[in-house]
Amino acid sequence: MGSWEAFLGGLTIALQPENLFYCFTGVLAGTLVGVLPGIGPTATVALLLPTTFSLNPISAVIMLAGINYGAAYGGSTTSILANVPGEASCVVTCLDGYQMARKGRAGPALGIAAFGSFIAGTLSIVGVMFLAPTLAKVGVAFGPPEYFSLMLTSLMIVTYLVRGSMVRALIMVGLGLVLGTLGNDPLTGRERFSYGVLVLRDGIGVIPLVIGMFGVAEILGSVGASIKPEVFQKRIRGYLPNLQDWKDSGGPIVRGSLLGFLLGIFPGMSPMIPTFLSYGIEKRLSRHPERFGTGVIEGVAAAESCNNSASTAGFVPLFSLGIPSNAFNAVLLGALMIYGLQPGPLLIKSNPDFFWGVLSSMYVGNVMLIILNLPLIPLWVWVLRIPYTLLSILILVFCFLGAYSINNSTAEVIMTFAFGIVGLLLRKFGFETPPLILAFVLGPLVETAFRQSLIMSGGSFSIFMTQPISAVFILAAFGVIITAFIKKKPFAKGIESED
Amino acid sequence: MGMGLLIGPVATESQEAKFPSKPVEIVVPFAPGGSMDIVSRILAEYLPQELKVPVVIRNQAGAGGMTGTTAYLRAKPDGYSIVAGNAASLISTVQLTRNPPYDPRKDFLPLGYIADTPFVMTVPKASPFNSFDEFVQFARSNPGKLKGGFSMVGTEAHFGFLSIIRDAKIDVKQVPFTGSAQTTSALLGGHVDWVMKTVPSSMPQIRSGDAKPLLLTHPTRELPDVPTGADKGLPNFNINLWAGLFVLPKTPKPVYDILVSAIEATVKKPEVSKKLESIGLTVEYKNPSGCSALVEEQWRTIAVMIKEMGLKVN
Repeated sequence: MGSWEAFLGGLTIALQPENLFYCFTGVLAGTLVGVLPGIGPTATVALLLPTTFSLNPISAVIMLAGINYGAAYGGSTTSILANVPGEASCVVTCLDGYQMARKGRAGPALGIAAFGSFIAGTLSIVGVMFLAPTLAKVGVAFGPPEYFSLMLTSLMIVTYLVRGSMVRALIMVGLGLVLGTLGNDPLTGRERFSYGVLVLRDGIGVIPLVIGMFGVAEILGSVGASIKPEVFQKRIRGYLPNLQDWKDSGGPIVRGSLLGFLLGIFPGMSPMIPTFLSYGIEKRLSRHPERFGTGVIEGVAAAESCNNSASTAGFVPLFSLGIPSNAFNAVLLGALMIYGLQPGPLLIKSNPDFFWGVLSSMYVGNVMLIILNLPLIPLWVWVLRIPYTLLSILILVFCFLGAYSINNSTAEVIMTFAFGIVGLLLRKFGFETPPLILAFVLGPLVETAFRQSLIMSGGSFSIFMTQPISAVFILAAFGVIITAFIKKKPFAKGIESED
Repeated sequence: MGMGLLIGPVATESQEAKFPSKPVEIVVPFAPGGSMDIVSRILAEYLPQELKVPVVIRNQAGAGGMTGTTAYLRAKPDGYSIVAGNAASLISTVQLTRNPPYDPRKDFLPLGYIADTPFVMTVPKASPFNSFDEFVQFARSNPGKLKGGFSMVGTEAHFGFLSIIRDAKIDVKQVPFTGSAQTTSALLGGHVDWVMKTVPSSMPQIRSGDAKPLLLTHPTRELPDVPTGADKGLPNFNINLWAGLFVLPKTPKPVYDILVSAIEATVKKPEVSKKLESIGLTVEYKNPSGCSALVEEQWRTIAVMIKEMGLKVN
């Protein structure tokens, strides 16, 4: 109850006109940054940071936080309209969102992305408010062995993502794992497969990979091919999700939000991972898994709510332990210190106005985002009426601008283009890219945690089974493999059921 | 900096007498949001008061700072482009590369050493060790038993970690982590027995009592009672996380002098030190020769560590 009163107190702070203004500025900037591929919220916040030094810290952090969750909202727009993930974590939204747009259902896809993000945002803010200290303890209970087993289970869930041939999907997983090993060995610093090229030392960036394999490959694929712009223009069926859409999306939104929130509290966890997992799980639970990837609304709902709650969950370790779990939170941590606030367990006690004011503002900001985004939907849908030849050039320009802006260098642009060609070839030969991307993101985490665990145990593999949390996940990983094979038959018959 | 050096460039640069006449750029070879980036942004906010032109930041991250620093070598040596550097981008990454693209002692001229922050060794709240001596005693009598963690291989934290092992003659398991967050998390969860991190990133846990500080690279006002490497006879445990500014050696002397004095004046402004201190850095201004001497000294220390601790050079 004390928390409830504190929340109301925070709400009065968040609703002050000045803070409303900063909140709006933040979410608006975030939406724009989210829409533009490559330009992420972290860089934006770092750029804007000096301008906030003179503000009151509550207003400043309200604005900076708004940029972050605003970007998670905006990232879905280009995923749905152009198959270009506005943020890396929105890559899963492309899978069904873009197909929905091609079927004339861009409106409902954008709508469910906005509502799903809103619901996920709300649930995860409540989670941060009431569960942060407890969950933070759960987070640190995961050391390298636990982390390895959790990531291994996640990697097994790749099998749920497969649409066509399992063998081809596993080839893609292998390729993703190989691409993930490029660059400095995370434990010894030795270079791997970098061939003396400086830009390859840090390995391949996830943004060139996803923009290339999704957006650029899509545009290149349309060259010469007879892509009919009518598919976009014909039959635009409504701008908002209908009742059936809501029925289909309810479960995925709630499950996606929970999964995103739980995994989002782990330091170093990219929001992409829970997002892929929630998509895989929805597909596994669905009555019609074969339709995933052809434009089902559940896929968009799960992915968008999951990446939103994962990005909010990053506040759990930040506020309760002073651990920044991702790059954005690291910048925010620096900002808090400049404003004279010390994150960690003492923050909530020593600066309750700050903690509750910022969290309440996030709620207000989510409301603003939905008000801001819904009227934009017809506008975005209208964008699809631009002749595809022209639109595709625009998309390509934004893809390369975004790639350049990652590190102010052409190396990322070249990589993006190269992955565009690779993505196009893979597509032509019937290989799916999602398993590759998930394996690429998970591979380095699995490897690092595996080797850290073995250093800790002195080389004994028993560490994975003697740690109870780790043992549970190892068993779960086996369970996933086994169910993937059991599921095979009912799949073909089109029968559904849990186990 | 003799007279000979002075006369040559002056004549040719007379048309550039009113340096600076356009915006000055600081190349930060690290990602936005890191401590180096924030230091540079704070300077970029106050340097215009001295230089009377805008100062912009350009981040070019990668390869431990080597990507941006290497790209900077191709900049025009006219003083309009400055590079930020530290022990990682200029020393450790260079020494860990077989054919390094630059040598900081020859290819860069320091404009000044701005600020630094010590590294601190911490143990979890539940740890039996309450002092560095207790830790060393246990580690010596139980070789290979303790697990230590540090953030990012090849960085200052790693070399601090190695210098404790070398100078205190202990044998521990070395667990590298891929970021400060993962390191902190492993410490708080008790997965490792001790970690090496910077003071600002350790303070939240130290203040809340979740971590105990045992040893510092240098004294800091935030942790007045914690001994330093020098106090405990560890001669190589002395590399801080620092930030300096550099230009190319061909920069005209008058331009160079303008930049040096502008930076000194900026760093000594009370608002600037206040801001740097708020992110946990201590303003420790050193003039160019002081900065050169420090680079030389740390170059030697890191060379010893790489050789004796068996680090592989790429």
